[in-house]
Amino acid sequence: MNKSQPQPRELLILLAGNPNSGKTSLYNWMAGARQHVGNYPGVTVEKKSAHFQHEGQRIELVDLPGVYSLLAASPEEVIARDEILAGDASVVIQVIDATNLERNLHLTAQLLEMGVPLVYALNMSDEAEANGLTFDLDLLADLLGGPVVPTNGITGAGVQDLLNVALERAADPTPAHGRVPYGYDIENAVRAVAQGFEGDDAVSARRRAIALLDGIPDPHAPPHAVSSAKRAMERLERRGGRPLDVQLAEARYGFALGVATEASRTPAHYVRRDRTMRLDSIFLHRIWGLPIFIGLMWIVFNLVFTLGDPPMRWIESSLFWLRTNIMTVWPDTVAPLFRSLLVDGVISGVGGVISFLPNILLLFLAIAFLEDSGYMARVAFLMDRVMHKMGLHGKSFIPMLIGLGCTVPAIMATRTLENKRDRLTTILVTPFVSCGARLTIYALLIPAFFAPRWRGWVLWGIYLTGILTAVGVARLLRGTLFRGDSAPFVMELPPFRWPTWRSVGIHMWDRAWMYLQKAGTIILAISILLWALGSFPKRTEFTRDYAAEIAATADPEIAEELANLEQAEALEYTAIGRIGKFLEPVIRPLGFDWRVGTALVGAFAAKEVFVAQLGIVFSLGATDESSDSLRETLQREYTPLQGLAMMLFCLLSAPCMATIVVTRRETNSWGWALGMLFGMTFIAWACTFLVYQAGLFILTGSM
Amino acid sequence: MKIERLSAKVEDYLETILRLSETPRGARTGDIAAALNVQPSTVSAALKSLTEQGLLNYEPYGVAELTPKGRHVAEEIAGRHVGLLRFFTDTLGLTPEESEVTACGMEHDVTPLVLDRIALLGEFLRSHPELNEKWRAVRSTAKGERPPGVESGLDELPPGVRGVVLSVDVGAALRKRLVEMGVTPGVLIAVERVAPLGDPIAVEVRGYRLSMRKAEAAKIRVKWRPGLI
Repeated sequence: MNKSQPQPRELLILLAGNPNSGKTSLYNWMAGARQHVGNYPGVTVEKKSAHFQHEGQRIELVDLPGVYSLLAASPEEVIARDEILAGDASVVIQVIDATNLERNLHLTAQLLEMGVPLVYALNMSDEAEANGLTFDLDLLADLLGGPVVPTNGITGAGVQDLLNVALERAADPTPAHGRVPYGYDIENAVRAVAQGFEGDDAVSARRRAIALLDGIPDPHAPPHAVSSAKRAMERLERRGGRPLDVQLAEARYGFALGVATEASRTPAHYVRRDRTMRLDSIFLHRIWGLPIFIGLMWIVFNLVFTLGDPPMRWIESSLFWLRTNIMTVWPDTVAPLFRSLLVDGVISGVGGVISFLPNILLLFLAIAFLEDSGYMARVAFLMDRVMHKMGLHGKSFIPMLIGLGCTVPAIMATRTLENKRDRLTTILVTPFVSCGARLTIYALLIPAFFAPRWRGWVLWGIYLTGILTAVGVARLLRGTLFRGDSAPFVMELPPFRWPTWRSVGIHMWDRAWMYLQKAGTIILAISILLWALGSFPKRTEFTRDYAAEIAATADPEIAEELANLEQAEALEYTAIGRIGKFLEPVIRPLGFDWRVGTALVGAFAAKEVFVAQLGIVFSLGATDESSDSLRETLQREYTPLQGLAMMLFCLLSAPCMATIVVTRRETNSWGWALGMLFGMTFIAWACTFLVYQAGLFILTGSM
Repeated sequence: MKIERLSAKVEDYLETILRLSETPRGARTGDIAAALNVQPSTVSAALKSLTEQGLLNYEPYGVAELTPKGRHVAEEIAGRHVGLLRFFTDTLGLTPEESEVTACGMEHDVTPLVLDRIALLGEFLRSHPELNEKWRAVRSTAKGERPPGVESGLDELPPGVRGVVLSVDVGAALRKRLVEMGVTPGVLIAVERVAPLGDPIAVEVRGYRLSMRKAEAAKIRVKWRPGLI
């Protein structure tokens, strides 16, 4: 810690730039592990910031969302613009991808209008130079009105220089000079409109005038500025023969092209990004593109779930070990309630939280790799045709695929979708894709009710029903809640690059930490609540005196049977049992009795609990999905139609409370999370009702 | 009436006689020999043989006249010839000489079905001026010639042809997005590839790759530019 010199204030440095400009890798080099990930208030746009010291100066570095412009057309653009304009920033660093100077400088053209001190990081300049491009850094700095530092996001070269230069620049708060010339007619109009902003300084008046002319609403603009902008727009659009925003963009790109041409030299036989072109001809090949894609997705799925399985088992077995040890050292005569709280509530709750962790880490390893390499944009490109028809986005494919394994990481995977409507639709329909936990229920019920030759077909039918429901609900949501044109699919296909382990690692760590911190705590709390509901009120009077009978018998089998009967009676008496009974009239038309209801309520903790709960209510003690005694009991008690109804209901109702909590976390709203819970329950009820009643009608000819 | 397939040589004679018999001089041995570039004595022998087959009325040193059967056959051959010739000059854009040589070589071998289809294709393009114009542009681009400045939506720009953006005729929100990505009037643009499922497309603009749906690309008007990328 450097405490020798006084530190007057913390400097705020903003990092701005295009998506795929290497902005985040530079940020990671500067911020290291000291970063903090959160959300901007009220929106789901991520805010990344870090506090650290450089040369004894305290610095807060904020990684702004990657944008192509500051015209406030998307939440990201609004945030980037507002953060820059807030006036707290000592300096704004723009990260410029040297291999794509022209489009990156279009953003510079807009940054120059903000009236802030600017520093430029010419990123990947060595890659561009390897391709034969050369840069005149002094001329570039001169034309852009701020120092230019060559950097490399992969090796971290130039990062210390960049910070030094940024600190120097911060000491001199005059804004960057340099402005975009819009041409005689437009400049006249800008001056006329700017006069309407009397309270503003010259820079701000010019910027707001240009924004008005660009068609960006400004609620605080004086009325005469607005009306004079309106008149100027009509006149200039008539004269130019095209919308004024197009003319303004042309002028900005004119500036960008001009600077790029003057300050960089391209060799006569420059072959543009030949590596990306070559890779695209493989990955986007007309015939091989899709098989390669399917192969890669297979790898991703197996990486997440096959490789994630052993660590999940280790976690489960170590928790089991912990549980048995506590149970041996803590006899059930001493404070039995706390013992049960610790063993059945807290430990299984912690297990419920961290057993997802291996999957989440591996999923974000895969996603970070796909995103940083540039393949994720290709996924959207390849799948857009199909997914668009379903009312989803090309990038929705990966969450749906992950949903086959587990819904919790699947919902976290929707972060790759930038558009809010696409993202919400995907979050809300992904739980219909049948996850691995629900497979346990089918594994129990299908052999119990169906002949061997039908079993495969029934299972396929269930999975297909889930996917078709997801598609149907997505289209329904598109037609109602998320009405309007689907988001335009105007997306950059970034150049292919090798991801750095550093970036991938930081990305994984961020996600895992966020999950533990934000979702884990709530999941733990709900687990304990469910434990309480399944334990209270305690039954003190049983129909028989089980304790005495167990003590009296010498046969361990009879003793076990008696203990199971006692457990079943106790469960019936608890809140969960009562809820199950209370719900009976509602679920009766679905073919369920109170015992199924009780199991369903318990299954909200995790879908596979359904099986264990059924075992308890039928007095069979601990059971799993391959338990033949449970299957025999079910066969005796229910018809195959009822079995089908149970599977259908489990498929379509909300998978588990972790899903709901993660949805709340990812949408930043309890409204969507509870909407999902009730919406899914309603859909499940309605579909099961129809199937069960129709089935009854067909089978017996009466309702 | 059934017509057996005749030899290429015989077909050439019949066609030439038909053409010459429409001139005031009629079809005479010397003119036929000149047109087919053979000796007059060869012609006489050939004419005799044609007369024997009932295709021709011919007296030595007189004018050769086609019988009704001969005229029918000759007209059919001439129809093929003209059909091919027209296809080569109009649709494929070959020079008249090249067309003539190619048509003469092909007309004897081509089956009626192929001929039919070729004629149909030529007719189809002639009756769709817009398509025909685009085809001509592609044709001349392929030869490295300057196409006659076709305008179309960006979605119709063939891969390998560059275009200049003329206008971006979309709603304000999408227009803002497109122009900020650099798709402004006057910029050079090219379709780099189409997704395996047929939509969306990837275009190259301002030195980078941008993808968009065909429905969006259709609203961007471009003027085609010559030459490959």
